[in-house]
Amino acid sequence: MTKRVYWTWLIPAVIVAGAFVLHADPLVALGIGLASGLSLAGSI
Amino acid sequence: MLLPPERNRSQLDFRIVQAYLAGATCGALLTVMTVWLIGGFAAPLPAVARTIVIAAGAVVIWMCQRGPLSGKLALPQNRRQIPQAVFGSGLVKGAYRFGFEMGTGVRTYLPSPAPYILLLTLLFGRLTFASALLVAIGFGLGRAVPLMLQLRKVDRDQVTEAFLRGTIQIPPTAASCVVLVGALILV
Repeated sequence: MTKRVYWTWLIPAVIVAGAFVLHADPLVALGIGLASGLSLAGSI
Repeated sequence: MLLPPERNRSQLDFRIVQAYLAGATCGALLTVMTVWLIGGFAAPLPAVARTIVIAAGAVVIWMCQRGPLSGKLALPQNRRQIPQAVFGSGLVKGAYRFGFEMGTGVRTYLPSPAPYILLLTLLFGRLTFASALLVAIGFGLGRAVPLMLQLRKVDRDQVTEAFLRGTIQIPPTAASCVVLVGALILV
């Protein structure tokens, strides 16, 4: 797994984790949307 | 192929990417808001029941796409490429339409379990309007990132290869876990 692929889920994971710590639910929502969209990145 | 494989990008290339991003976000907004409104019917369910539905559903979805049920139980998806006819009215308008169809998530292949888990979250998560809006923006942005990356001076073959490899190995499962954990936080 190269770095380029790694970040497609790691960046959303960091956003979700950070939002959880900060109790910022809208940011969690942004993170899961981003994770979901990026998981389809190969199909473009 | 929305952008030509050139190293120096023109203004048109940036407009194409902007149009694609706008289209993907609008498409995601349409799907997310529709599902979010339908999800209102599940609002009376207690939080425990909604959590169980999302968690159990996520496991079933993963098993259908990546696990032992793969090939036996097919999840609903539109098994087709988006037709080239969307570019009939020009590259920028075509990029918007192409992005819109990709953003809806219902007009082409879905090779990852994560969007299905996201759908469950929207149906049973009882998200606020702002959260639903941000889910759509995040999804549209995620859909547009691969094209945005091509604006940089990178080897597009390498990027494409890396992304394609990413769709068949660990990242889709990891992304699904991120969506599931986020969903459980939001419930």
